[in-house]
Amino acid sequence: MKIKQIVLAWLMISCRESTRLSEIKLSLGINSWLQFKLSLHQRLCVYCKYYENQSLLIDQALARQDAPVIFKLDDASKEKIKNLLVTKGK
Amino acid sequence: MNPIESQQLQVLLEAHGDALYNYARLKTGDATVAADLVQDTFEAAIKGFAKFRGESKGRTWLFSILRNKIMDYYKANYRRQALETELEADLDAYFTVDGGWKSAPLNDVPASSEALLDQPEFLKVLYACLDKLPLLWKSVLESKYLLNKETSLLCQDLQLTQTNYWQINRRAKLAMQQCLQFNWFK
Repeated sequence: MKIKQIVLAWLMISCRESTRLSEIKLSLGINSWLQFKLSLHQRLCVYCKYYENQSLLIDQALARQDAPVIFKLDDASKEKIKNLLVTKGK
Repeated sequence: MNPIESQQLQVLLEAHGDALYNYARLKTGDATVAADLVQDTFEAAIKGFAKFRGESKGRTWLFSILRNKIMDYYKANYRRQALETELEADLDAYFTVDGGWKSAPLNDVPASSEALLDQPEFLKVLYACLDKLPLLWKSVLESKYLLNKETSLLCQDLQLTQTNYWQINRRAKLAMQQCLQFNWFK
């Protein structure tokens, strides 16, 4: 019984640790042992899996440079930059 | 800068001005700041045109200048908040003493979640959530995409220890996820 508890403690990570590993995994990658512990935890804790899925989605959104254009540069600002370019080009 | 170079930049302004502004507006959440950053970008482009020489695409080049300008803007503005927000960055609000979730916090994203990235309405909500974060947290989330550097170098830039960096990263993600949960995935 005691050995079982020790093995479980060795294998299992907390939700707090799971979210930390998820972030490191998404940014830098983690080794296969940590990946195993994380996957095991996520099979038992759906919220930690949801955390990682949402975190990945946020990262993908923030990484995009070619997001759909929602906001456009107003004409006055564009004209101001144009004038600057014309002045510097003389 | 000669008139031909000036004309080339004017062409780039016409072609990519809106995309640059859109990017800056999403990242800063402020129309005036975004317009100023686009202007700063072109001022830097005027000075650095000799370096450009068409080695990369004009759009890529202008975006790389703009990303640095946005990061400079973050850094200039978050220092005042830094200490306070570092202290707030603990995760105890979300986790119990033994590290479990305090309450069932999140729903899953839909299977087709990548399609969300093309939906302006979703992006508006996401960036509105981002705008609610303290600037230091926002900087931590954005910096890796704006500066494209390793974490250790980002920490130097942001003047954070790696422990604080990851703690703030998670705290910011949790705040973003709760905001998205409430405003989109409900």
